[in-house]
This record gives sequence, structure tokens and C-alpha cells, in this order.
Amino acid sequence: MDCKTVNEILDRGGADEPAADLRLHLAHCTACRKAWDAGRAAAATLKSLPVPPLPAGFADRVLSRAYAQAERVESRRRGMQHWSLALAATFLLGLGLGLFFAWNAAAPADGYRTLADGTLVLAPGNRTVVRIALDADHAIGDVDFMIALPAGMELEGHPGEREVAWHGELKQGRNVLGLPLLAQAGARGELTAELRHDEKDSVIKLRVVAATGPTWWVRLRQWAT
Amino acid sequence: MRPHLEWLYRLAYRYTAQAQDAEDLVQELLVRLYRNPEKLAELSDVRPWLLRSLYNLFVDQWRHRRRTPFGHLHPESWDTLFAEEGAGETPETELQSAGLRRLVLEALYRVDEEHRALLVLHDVEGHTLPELAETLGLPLGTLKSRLFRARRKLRRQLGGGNPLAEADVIVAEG
Repeated sequence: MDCKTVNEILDRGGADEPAADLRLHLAHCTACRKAWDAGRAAAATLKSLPVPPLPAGFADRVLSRAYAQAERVESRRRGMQHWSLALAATFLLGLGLGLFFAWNAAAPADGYRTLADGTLVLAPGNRTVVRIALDADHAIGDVDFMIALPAGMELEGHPGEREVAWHGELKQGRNVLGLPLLAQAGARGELTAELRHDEKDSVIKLRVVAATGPTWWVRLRQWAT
Repeated sequence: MRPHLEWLYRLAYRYTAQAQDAEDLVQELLVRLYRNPEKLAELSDVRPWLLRSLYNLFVDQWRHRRRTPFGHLHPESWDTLFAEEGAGETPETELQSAGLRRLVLEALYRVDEEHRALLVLHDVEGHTLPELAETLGLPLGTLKSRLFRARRKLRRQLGGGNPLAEADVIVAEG
């Protein structure tokens, strides 16, 4: 029996009745005897740690709060279902969220196009699906999403709301969040998408304008106003 | 769920060492449960599932939200615990055991969450490794080596000395 073996026995939880060779070693090695006594005392203490008293009103409080919170989450989830939501994100550890907007200017069915400076031009009065692509390197269970819209714009199914938030999950790989935007003529400003997970925020802002006419005309109007 | 709440709170408190954090942790678990009621319905015994869910919630996710380094712990909550203990002990042994408990608790909450949770389940709550392997869905060998490392970390936090002797010193200063 040597000191290393004694340490390993302690790390395995010790022994209620030390074997003869262990007893012999402990009798001659002061350091191991101290470590043994300390380890056994700590193990016994862990077994007899006091039971924390239950706070007054705990059960009612925690059940009602949890129910209310679950209802809020479910309500947001239902609100998102008709958006044909398929999303995920990537949280690049140490770098925050890898997130970018992706839109296809050559997709006339979506009814929008982009200007050279990245501004997204929407056709007023039409439903326009803006897609946000999120790349995730692993699945993430708890993500808070928030979309903030400029005045004169709203998401289909959320009339009059300029901020829509919900709680969701992200799967590994590329995910696309489709936002069905409705814009009034002349509305413009920034669309903000914010994702929060693990106390980390990632925010993407996109300039959007609802206008008709050729690109040069829209740019001119933007410049003029 | 009501019959399980006290047990859940006790576990959560052991994990977090703070009453408010324990309450928040249990609440978060219940939120998940409310969102997945069909899971409850299909379980014949809900406790293993609750134990596993609370463990995963604490180890994988919750710890990132509420970091509780030792310096942020609330010693007053421990004082409450210690005040309720000691009934039937002589004043001398009461002081000694309270000091030792404090030392062991302080060491326990300096151990990282994953290893601490395992120490809580095995060494404090008394679950066996085969039980935990089945409940947590982890290989027995993995749990064994993890518990081995957890104990080593705890002993390091205890300084490798004799906590009984150190407890005496702390009590004397108090």
C-alpha cells in the first residue's frame, strides 16, 4: 500500500472498514492518516447535510408562475405556427451568434428587391416574406427571438404589433425563418431581429422601405425624404 | 406535481445553494413540463424523469444563466440551515459539526456544476451509481469516472487537510 493508492481509495469513496494493508499504512503515514480522516469526515458530512426548509407558499407560487409562463410561451408558439417557421441558428462559441439575412432578389414571388446599399424594398399592400437564415453548429433548446418593425409595418397575424417575441428551439445546420411582412406605402425604417441565448444577444438590423416604382425612383424618394 | 415539489426543491437547493435560485430552477422545470403534458401522461413513475430533467436543466443550461460563484452565495441561508440542525447535540459537538458542515458546503459549491450535481445525487442524496446510470441515461463507466473526479475536486477544495481541525478554528473565530 502506498500514498497514491490511499488517495485513489478516497476518491472512490473510501471504505467503511479499511483493509489490513491500508490500516497498516495509515498507522505509519501521518499525511495519509490526516487525508483519510478528512475524507471520511467529509463523506459523512455530505450524507448528513441538513434538509433545506421549503419556503412558505412555495408550491402555489411556483405552480402558478410556471403555468402562466408556459401559457405565454405557448401563445407565442401558436402565433408563429402559421408563419411556416423553420428556423435554427448557430451559436459560434465565443463569437456569439452567426446570423445573417438572406433574401433572393430574383424571387419575384416574394415581391421584394434590394437596393445597392442593402435596403430591402417591399411592395406596399402585398404580403412579403422576408427570410432570415440562421446557421447553427449545434441544436439549441432555449432561444428567445424578437422581431421589431418600423412604423407602418407588421407581421401577418399580429396586427398593430411592432414587436413580436417568442421562445423557440434551433436545430443544427441551416434554418430559415420566414417573416410575412405587411407594409403600408411609405413605411420605412429598420427591421431588427434579435436572438438571445445563454445571456448572449445577437442583433441584426435591416433597412426596409415600402415603395413602388423603379429602383432609381425609390432611391431618389429615399434620398429626398 | 404537487407531491413532488418538496423533493424537487430539495434537489434544486442542493444544486444551487440558494433558495431563490432553487425556486427558479424548479419553476423552469415545471414550465417545460406544462409545455409537454403528454410526456407526463405516458410515464408510470414520474420521479426518475423529473430527476433526470432537473439534472440536465441544471448541468446543461441553467448554470449558464445563473452563475453562482462562491463569492455570490448567501451565507445567511446556510445559517438558517445550521440553526435548524444540532438539536440533541451538546454545544461543543454542535459547533464542531456546524463548522464542518460549513467547510464541506463551501467546498462543494466551489466544485463545478456537473461534478457537484453528481456529488449531490450520489454522496448527499444516496442514489447508487447503477440507479443514476439508468435514470440519467449515462454509461455506468462514465458516471464512475465522473464521480471519481468529483470527489477528487471536492477533496482539493477541502485543501487535503483535516476539515475537523479547520472547523474548530473557524468556530473559535466566530
